[in-house]
Amino acid sequence: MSEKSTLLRAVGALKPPTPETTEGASHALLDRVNARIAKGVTTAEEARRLTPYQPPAATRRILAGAAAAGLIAVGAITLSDDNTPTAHADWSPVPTELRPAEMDEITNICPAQFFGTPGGEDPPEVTPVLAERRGEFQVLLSASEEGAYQYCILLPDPEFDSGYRPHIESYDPGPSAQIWPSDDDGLYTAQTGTPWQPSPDHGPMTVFLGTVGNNVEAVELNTENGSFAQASVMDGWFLVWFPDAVQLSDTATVTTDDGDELEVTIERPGD
Amino acid sequence: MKAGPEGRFEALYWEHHRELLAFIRRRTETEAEDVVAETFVVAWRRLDDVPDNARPWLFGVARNVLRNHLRAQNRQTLLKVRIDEQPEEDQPDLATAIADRHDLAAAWNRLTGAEQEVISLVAWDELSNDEAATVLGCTKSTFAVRLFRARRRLLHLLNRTTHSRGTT
Repeated sequence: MSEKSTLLRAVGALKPPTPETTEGASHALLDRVNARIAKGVTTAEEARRLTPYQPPAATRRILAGAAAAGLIAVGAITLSDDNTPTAHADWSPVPTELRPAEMDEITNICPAQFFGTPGGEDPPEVTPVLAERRGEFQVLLSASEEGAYQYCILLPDPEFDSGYRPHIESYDPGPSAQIWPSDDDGLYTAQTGTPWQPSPDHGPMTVFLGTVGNNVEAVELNTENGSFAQASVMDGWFLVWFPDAVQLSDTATVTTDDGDELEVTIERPGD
Repeated sequence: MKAGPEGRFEALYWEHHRELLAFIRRRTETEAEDVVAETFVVAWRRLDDVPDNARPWLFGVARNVLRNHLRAQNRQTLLKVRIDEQPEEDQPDLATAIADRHDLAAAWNRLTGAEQEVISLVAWDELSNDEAATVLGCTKSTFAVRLFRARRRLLHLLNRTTHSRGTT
C-alpha cells in the first residue's frame, strides 16, 4: 500500500513549476548570505525567534487498567440475556460525511494518541484516516502504518461536558500480523465484529473495520441476517457498523477505481 | 570542503538552497532570494540547533522569515494553482485521474491558506507528518489532525465542484 493517498498524489500533480536555479545564481546567493552574516544584521534574538517552535513532548494519558488490546468506554453495557435493547432507528446504511464543526468536535474529543499500551512501551503512532456519521453516532478511525488501529465513537450523552461519551477501542496486531488484503481488489477485516451495547437506551451494535486493496474505492457489506451497508473507505481503510449483533457474509461488493463492481471473498485474520 | 562549522554550513547550503528557493517561490512571486538568504543567516547563527535532518528545520525557518516579510507588507502567502495551466488530456496515472484536474484545481483554490499549507507540505514538499509538524512548530498528532481535516474539506469541495458541474 502506498504511503500517500490517491488524493494527495493527485494534489501533488498540481504542484506549480518553479524555475531552475543556475550554478551562477547559487554562488551569487551564497555570496549574499555571507555578506549578511559579515554585516551581522540579524540579531541573536531575531534568529531565535525565527527558528521553528518545538512543542514539548506530549503528556501521555494515564489510563488505569488499559490493556494492549484496549476497550475504554465510560458506562458501556455488556450484552446480557435480559437486556431489552431498542433499535437504532436513525441508523443509515449509507454513511454521511461530518460537517467541519463536527470534524473539529470529534478530533478534539477523541484521543490523538493510541490508547491502551502497557506501561513502559511506546504506543503505535496512529493518525486519523476516516470519520463518518450514521444516525446519531459519529465515528473516527485512526491507524498506524504498521496496522495498529483505534476507533472512537461519540455517543450523545448530556451528562458529559462535551455532550458526548466517547467509546474507544484500540488494537495493535503486532509486527507479523497481516495488514492489507492479498489482492488489489480485495478486502481484509482486521476487526470481525464483537457486538456490544453502548447504553441501556440503545440496542446492540457491531463494528467491522479493516483494509482494502489499492484498486478499491467503495465497499458494500452484507450481513447474514440480510442487512447491508456501505462502508466508509479512506486511505486504504474501511469501517462500517450495523445495529444489532450481526455477522458478515463471506463476500462483499467492491467498486474499483475503474468503476467495476466485483464480488470478493472477505479475508479474515487467520485465513 | 571547509572543515568545522563553516564546512557544515556550506554543506547545508549546497544541499538545501535549491529546494528552499522552490519552497518559497511556490508561496510568493518575489523576494525568494531574500527569504532564503535570511534563512541561511539564521541557520548560521543557530548552527548548533540545526538537527541532522535539517530539511524540515530549514523549511520552518524559511516559512517564518517569509511570514515576517509578508506581514510587514500586509500580504499573504500564495499557494494557489493556475487553473488555466491544468492540462485537458486524460492522464494515465490513477492519481491524476482522480478527478478532472480543473475541478481539483478549483477545489484546491477554495481551501483556506492554512489548509493549503498543510496539504502542500506533504503533497508538494514530500515531507512526512513528523517533518511537516517541525515546519509548522506543532506536534505530529496536531499536524495529523490538521491534515485530516484539510483533506476532508478538499474532498468535500471537490465533490461539490464535480456535482455542480454535472447538474448545470
